[in-house]
Amino acid sequence: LYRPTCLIKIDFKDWIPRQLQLFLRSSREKQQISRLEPLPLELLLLITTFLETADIICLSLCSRTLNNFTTSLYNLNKPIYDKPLALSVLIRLVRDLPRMFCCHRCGKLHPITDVLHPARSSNAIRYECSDLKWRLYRRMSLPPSLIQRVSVHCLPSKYTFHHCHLAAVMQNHDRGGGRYGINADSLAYTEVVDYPEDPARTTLLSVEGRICTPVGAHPTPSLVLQMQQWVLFHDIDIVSGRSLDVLISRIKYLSICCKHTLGSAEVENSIRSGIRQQGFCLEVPAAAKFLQCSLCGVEFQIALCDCGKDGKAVILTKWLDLGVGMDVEDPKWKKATLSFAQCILEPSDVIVSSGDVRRLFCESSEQESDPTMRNKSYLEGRRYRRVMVRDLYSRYGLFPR
Amino acid sequence: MSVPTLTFQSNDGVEITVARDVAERSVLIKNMLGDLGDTDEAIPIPNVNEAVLRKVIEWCEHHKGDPPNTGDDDDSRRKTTDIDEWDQKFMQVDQEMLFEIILAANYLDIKGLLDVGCKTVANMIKGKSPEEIRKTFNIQNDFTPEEEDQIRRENEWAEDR
Repeated sequence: LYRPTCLIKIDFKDWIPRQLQLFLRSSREKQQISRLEPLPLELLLLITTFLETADIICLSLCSRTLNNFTTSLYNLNKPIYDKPLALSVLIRLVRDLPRMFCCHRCGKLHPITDVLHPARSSNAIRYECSDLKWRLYRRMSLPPSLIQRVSVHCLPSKYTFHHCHLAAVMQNHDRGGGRYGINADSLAYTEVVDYPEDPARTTLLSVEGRICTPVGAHPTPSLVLQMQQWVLFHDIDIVSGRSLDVLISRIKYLSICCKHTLGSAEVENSIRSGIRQQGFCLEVPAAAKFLQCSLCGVEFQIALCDCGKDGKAVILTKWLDLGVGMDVEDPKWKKATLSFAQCILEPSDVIVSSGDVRRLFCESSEQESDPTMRNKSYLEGRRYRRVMVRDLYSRYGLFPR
Repeated sequence: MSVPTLTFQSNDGVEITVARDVAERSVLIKNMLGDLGDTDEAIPIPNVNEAVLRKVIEWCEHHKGDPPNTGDDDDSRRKTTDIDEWDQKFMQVDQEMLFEIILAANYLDIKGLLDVGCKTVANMIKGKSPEEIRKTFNIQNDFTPEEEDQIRRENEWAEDR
């Protein structure tokens, strides 16, 4: 009675096997079969007119009957040429495939165990994916990453966080924790590097991730990273007289984000006045309680710490909301990974922040959120040399257990 | 002056009286009356039971003032799966009833109701993975390992090999 006008005609040969299958199955299985599959073909076709191609592909993967009737409705090879369509299908498929991971950069499924900790790289070169094998692409344009946000040492950090890490963590979270691959807890990392040149200093980076769900009518979970960077000057007289200028000159290139460093005028002034007024007092922040980059949204706090005979430290703690991770074009991810070149002409200010991202991070877990005392304990008496693993470049690293 | 009525007889033998203008939302009934003329006898609806027939009549009564569907706007109508609030509540029934309504709407040729039913099913499919669709509609995964291999080959764009 009702003939959809925009559909492909169904051949008689398509109809026979379907009826046979339904008959055979209903007689074989005592249990009630689906109410959807036995619908007349014209009604199934009418339903598909209200569906997107990705929905039809997923429907076709449900059963033999549905596969037979839908194969004439779409071109199986279409997703090869249509990355948004491929991603739309793959994001759903991985919910059924706990061992697989949908890479948003290459639009393919990979085993989720191939997404390693951001500070580990795989030796098994198998993939064309630039996120998983970014080192292969170092001569080409690098995929967006947080490499600039974690830079604190005189050496590059091993911690190279790409979108695949965000997507894998969020996919595992979406599946109720995930038994395979990385999760938010396993993103943690601490790295220490000694720098013996004058002024002798030790730098530390710590990173922790948590999945945070804001309170609201439609809460969307997102991955928030807390990063802490220490520059510990071993000369305890570093704050006196002209030495303060030396200290400032050594920390002024420490990146807060793509746009700002500790040398940005307002930040540098706060550090100078903080040192003059309170000295290296951990309890009193050097600047306003929380600051924020108006362009990329990273929240940060600067503290000064007297580590006794080990020296005096400038501590930069940052909180970055990376978003839900289901799209490389997600505004939060794009903002968080803006490169220096991308934002060179963009206006940006350091503004006073309400501390919402930090609050979100702290309230998402009952565990201690502030890493300062833990990081301080690694630096005291160079304890990191005993508890961390040293690599070929003399970087000391500590992975979560 | 009394409203002209018709009587339907469901396949379980129950007779239901309905206003003629409501009954004529069904193109099948409308054409039948046009061909055969008025009748005082109960019109058998052999494919539809009482409960479903009452639901169909309820929908027709609510939509009796709607403009008749000409079919010209089919394509634009189908692009959206938006369902108005009353229809959404109307369709909050168990799956058995939902599919019976769709089949009845198809048999009686009530395009508006058929669209609402199919949109409801489409909305139950949208955004779901194959396993989630299977769970929603109690579909058995009956692919053999050979067929699964075949599907993987056909969908090789999905995996990095």
